[in-house]
Amino acid sequence: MIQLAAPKGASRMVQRIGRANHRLDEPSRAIFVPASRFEMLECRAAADAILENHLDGEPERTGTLDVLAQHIMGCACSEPFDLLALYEEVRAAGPYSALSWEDFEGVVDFVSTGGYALKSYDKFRRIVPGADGLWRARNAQTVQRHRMNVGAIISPATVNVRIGGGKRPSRQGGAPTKSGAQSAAKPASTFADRARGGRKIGEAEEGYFEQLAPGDTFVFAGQVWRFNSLVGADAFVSPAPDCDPKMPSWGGSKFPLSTYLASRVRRMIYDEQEWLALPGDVQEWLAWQKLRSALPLPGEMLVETFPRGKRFYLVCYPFEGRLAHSTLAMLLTRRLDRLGVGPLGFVCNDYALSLWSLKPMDQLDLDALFDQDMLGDDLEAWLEESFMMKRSFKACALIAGLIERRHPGQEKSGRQVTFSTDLIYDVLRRHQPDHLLLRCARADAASGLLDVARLGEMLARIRGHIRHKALERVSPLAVPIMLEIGRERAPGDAAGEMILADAEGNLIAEAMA
Amino acid sequence: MTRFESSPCGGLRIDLAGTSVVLRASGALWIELENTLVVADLHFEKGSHYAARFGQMLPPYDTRETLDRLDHEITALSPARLVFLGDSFHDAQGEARLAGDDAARLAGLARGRDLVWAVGNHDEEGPRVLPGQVIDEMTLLGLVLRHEPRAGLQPGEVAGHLHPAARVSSGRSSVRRRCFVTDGDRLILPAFGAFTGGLNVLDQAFGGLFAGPLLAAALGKQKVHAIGRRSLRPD
Repeated sequence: MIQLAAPKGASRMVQRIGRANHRLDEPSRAIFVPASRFEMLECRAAADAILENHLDGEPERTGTLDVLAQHIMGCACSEPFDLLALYEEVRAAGPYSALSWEDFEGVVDFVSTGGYALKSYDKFRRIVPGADGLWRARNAQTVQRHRMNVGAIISPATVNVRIGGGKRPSRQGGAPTKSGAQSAAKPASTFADRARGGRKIGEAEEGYFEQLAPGDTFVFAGQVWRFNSLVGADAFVSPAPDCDPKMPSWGGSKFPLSTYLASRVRRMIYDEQEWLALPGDVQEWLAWQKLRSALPLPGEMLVETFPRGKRFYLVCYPFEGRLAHSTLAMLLTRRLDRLGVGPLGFVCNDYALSLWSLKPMDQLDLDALFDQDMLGDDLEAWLEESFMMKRSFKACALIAGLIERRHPGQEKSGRQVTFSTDLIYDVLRRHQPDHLLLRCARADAASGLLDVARLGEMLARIRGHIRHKALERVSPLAVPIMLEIGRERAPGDAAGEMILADAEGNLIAEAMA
Repeated sequence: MTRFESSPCGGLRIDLAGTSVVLRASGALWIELENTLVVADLHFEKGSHYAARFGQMLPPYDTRETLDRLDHEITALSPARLVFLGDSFHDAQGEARLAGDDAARLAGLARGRDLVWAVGNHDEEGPRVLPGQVIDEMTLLGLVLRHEPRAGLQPGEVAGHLHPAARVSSGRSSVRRRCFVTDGDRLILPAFGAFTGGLNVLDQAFGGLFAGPLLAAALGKQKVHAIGRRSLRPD
């Protein structure tokens, strides 16, 4: 087994190694290939943990209400059920043992009529109680539609990868250019592109192509391709056998490193005895960090501030994973904005986060800045507007059966579903903010997309243990995160308005020219 | 090129076939000289249509959300005439499914102003009970208001039906918004309804409708943005 990049967890790693071999009588072997110095630390920590048989586990989960909604509908589709008996049966499952009768009734109402305060759907109910008191599906069509949409894993929308569109390198995403040749190029219409689209070479996640700019190269199906354009459900590519590929990124990096591994890495950085097991360049890196800045104690969090170019930077090292760091960065940005520091942007990886601003941040009260109360109103206010809630709501709406991906005779593409759930989210949020699915989406976003619980534990842990270093320049430990600046795009509504204003500026400039 | 300027309300004032009109950030058209507000494709009761037809329980709040948006425009402008440019209801039974208070609010719109219902393909008969005049099309200051754009060049035509949306790109990012689309001779309005989707203005359905360079007036939060063809992208 060859593990590229960091393993993220000791148990995850053991499982991955174990299933690679397929022979019961031989041990599996694994090689770690860390891609950065931080990953070297993480790989070392994982290998040590596995040797010591210290395995980290997944925390227990509470059953979600969208999955329960699908289950109740499924029960009604197979045979009539008794409300109380079903409640007892559901509570016999561990994740639902704490389910309240009120929530259960709420979910039944949702399955039946959508669970709206405005009771206008009573005559269209999907499940109805019969004269015998048992609940059953309305009719055969309801059952068929449910069965076509069963499933609680929302796979990402995929697009077809097709050869085509290469003759007109799309200017989408390119820097604005004033070259006359470029602007004279006739824009082809979408259907011309589609007609040019040739052989399908496979399918890939839509999100992957959203990261690519036209002209970027990547490896797919064992060959190097150039990405031309994304039109509807087709990504158009042309062969680029002589180019160096920009490697595809895979889902592995979406998992945060386990809390157990994170604490091992923090100890490893502090304890110089542990360094001896590391390669020379990593030891040297840590030694320079000690000289130039500081090595935090295992219970501490290091915060560095320094100027660079015309900007001022704040870098901290919580080691809590990208999700928790992104959430922390969003919340810190709101605070820094209120403090008049003029935050301009941020970037996160699994180990650290970096924020930059117009004004210096050396003099800030860091204990106040990192106070746990940021998880209150600030989090609520930001979350409601964020694209994460919309993504989370979409998943809940699909699982709970509010939206159907497939119905008899036609199939909606993933893209169309995105659009309509956003409209539903906006309307529902305004007219019934306590609706079951919104509650569900909030809870899911907090755990799955934001890692709020982990962030909360981290803020509690570092309270009174922030080690601040005001530096003249970037520290050795900060280099990896600083290199990631510019790779991420900031999504969100504010960005949307900026894009519109930008494009309008271009038109006005064109008109004046 | 279409002549345009930002208006203080956040709208975009354009010269449409010789008449000055304002494209509002809500997606409504304001014809000031006639004190007339025009909205297209409201698709009232689209949510309940899905419940009635498919048993899909979309939130039943789209009608009141659309009415809230309409109220906002009426308060801001006090129009003497309100023109619905077709597909006001999602289906022929939509009017009968209106919740009581929504129906009363809709009827209340006729107080102090003329309501005009142009018919569309979703509501070919127009409303049966609600007040107002039901028409196929009307002429106003040389502009022709109708639901579905006629084929070929139609100077002065104001229509809906196509639900135009623009994907606007700048640098590496892009954003998709509802939009007006015009070449200065004819105008297509965005869909005003809360549950209405959008069709990219680069789709072939818009082909052959415009002679001059395309201007997409994309709806921002508070402001309409004039977007040229070069910043538009397919989906």
